[in-house]
Amino acid sequence: MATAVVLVGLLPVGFVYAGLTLVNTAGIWLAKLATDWVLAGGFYIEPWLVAGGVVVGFAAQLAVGDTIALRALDARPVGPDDEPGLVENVTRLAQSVNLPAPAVAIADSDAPNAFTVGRSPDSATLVLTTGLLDALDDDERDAVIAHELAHIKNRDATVMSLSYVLPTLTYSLAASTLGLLQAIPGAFTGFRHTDSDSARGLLLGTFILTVSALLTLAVSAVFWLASFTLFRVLSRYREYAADRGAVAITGDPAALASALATIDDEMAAAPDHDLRAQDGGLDALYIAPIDETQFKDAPDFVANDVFPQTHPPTEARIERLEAMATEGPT
Amino acid sequence: MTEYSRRTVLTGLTGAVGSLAGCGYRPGPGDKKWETADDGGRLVTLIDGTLFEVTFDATRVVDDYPVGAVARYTLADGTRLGRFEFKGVATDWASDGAHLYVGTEASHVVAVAGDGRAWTETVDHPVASVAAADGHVYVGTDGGRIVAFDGESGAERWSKSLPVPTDPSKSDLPTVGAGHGSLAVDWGTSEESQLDVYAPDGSVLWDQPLQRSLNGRPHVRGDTVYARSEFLRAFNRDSGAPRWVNRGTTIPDGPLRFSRDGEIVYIPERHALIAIATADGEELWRFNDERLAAMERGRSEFEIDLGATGAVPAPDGASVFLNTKHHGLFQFGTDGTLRWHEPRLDFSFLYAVTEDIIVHSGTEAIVARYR
Repeated sequence: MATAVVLVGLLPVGFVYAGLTLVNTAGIWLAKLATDWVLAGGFYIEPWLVAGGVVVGFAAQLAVGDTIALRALDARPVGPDDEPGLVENVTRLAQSVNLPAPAVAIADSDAPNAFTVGRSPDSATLVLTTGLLDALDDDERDAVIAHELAHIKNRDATVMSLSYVLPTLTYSLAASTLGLLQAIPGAFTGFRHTDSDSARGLLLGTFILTVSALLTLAVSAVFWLASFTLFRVLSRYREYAADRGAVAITGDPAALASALATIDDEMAAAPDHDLRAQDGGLDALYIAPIDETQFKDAPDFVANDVFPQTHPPTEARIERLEAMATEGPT
Repeated sequence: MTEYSRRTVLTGLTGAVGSLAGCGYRPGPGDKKWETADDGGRLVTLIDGTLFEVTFDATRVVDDYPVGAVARYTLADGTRLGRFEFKGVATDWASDGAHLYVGTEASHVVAVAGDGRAWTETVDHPVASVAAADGHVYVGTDGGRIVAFDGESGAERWSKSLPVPTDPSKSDLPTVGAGHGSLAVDWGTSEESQLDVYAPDGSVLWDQPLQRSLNGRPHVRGDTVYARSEFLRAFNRDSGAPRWVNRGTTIPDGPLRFSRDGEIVYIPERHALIAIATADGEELWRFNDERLAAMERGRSEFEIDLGATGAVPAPDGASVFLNTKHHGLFQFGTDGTLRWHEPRLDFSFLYAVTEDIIVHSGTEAIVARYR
């Protein structure tokens, strides 16, 4: 686990230096190809600047990540006046583990799910979907709330938010570069009647653009694969921990097992648009995973099934919870 | 603004922002450091940490002569310090480490110091050649006169008349070379050619009849006078006794350049850079078309033209830079081993090399590059 957390910090640094190496080798070679510049030196970036950039990136993610997540799902905050029973339960369960009561928000979605966001227990927000509130009975709902409180207690939202910075960045870069590559052939189709110098320049420009895009895509893809895999491994590990934490809070593993089974069943029946609304980095924080194969028309950049799932299989989690119910929590 | 200037500004801005931001481009050997914004200058030398450019403005005329000028630039960043204008195009120039002396087609001798102080004197005819040493500036004119001025004040010290050349060829005009307490003068008419060597006071030390006029100016270095008449020849400065003849350099026409310790003289020719020991005239090494062909595999020496245009020894005395027209800039150790080569640096003139900068002519301006 410690290794994984260290990797979350080191991967962005590696990404910066891999990019720098690429610029100093292929980039300079391409620049020499296009110009008469000597370019015998090299680009550099001071280590303190890289470290500072990573820290600032992480800080920005922590500062605005929760707001973005809540806006993405259009979750509305609720208080004791709106949902007295729900807020009271959340407060009670939080107090039982010496946590400040998190803010509560409800997202309108038929997909039954729950997650927490926030950079610290003091600023956490617990989000529940209307689908979840409708599908679960009181004990199951408390078990889910306890699972989310365990995430807050373990600061999982913070860790997962940080670990999603690099996948987001590299995915955006790779996707943009892929778009650029696809646009290159079409961009030059209008230049058919040019003199030889212009044609040569056009050819050179196309070559440089293509090679630059391919290399950027390659580096981005490699770091996206690495960081996204790490993100999912981390997420998966922390789900078991949150399940154990939930049982410690409620003392009722059977209720959480039942809730997971219900959510799993209901999720399969949820409309695509509700599932899509929950996709995109937040899925690692959900109590139950969104299975991308549920999307019927979903082409993807890289098949999702090559990565570890964000969550352990629900059946495995239920089996563990049932074992706890029989033998007591370990 | 020229392309070079735009790049200079861009590079400067990138460097400044990068330095503040902790990132940027760290230049390597051959990368451009700066370039001057002006164009037209071609004759450049480094005097006391200041770059001097000799130029002219053909669009401005005074008494039927174009306006000539000496501009001064800082070596650090190419900032122009000042410009001294005079009448006529410069025909030759020389420096003594403190001043730049310029002879003009308008029969003037102009001296400009590093701090901008200047004097101008008039001679009888257009200036054919200029040399400077030991606080004196010596001028040979088209009228066959040799005039010595005080380098600091411009006061005339002495003058002599030589036979006026009857051949209109420039090579018969008096060509002066000075250094280490003597002045060597090569002159000729259609009937005779001669090498005279004078003491700083104008007294004749010795003279030597020549078969023909010299190629290029004579050089005085240490206790030796070097002259190129058919072959490179060395004479005792005080007695005129021949010291050696190097017959491996037939009609060497490139300017002689000496290593800092004076032990090696470099001769750039079109097809070779030749290093010769000043002690005995033995050839130490040469970099020629054959060696270049070996570097460029698959090509024979007969296909290659080195196109050497100038050599400048490094101030540390450990290497020499060779400028070529088509194959870039080379740096050789004093033993002839190739130390560095940048094939992209093709340019017409290599002017100066310091501990960390190479100065050459760009497309339209003076360019300084990192070493």
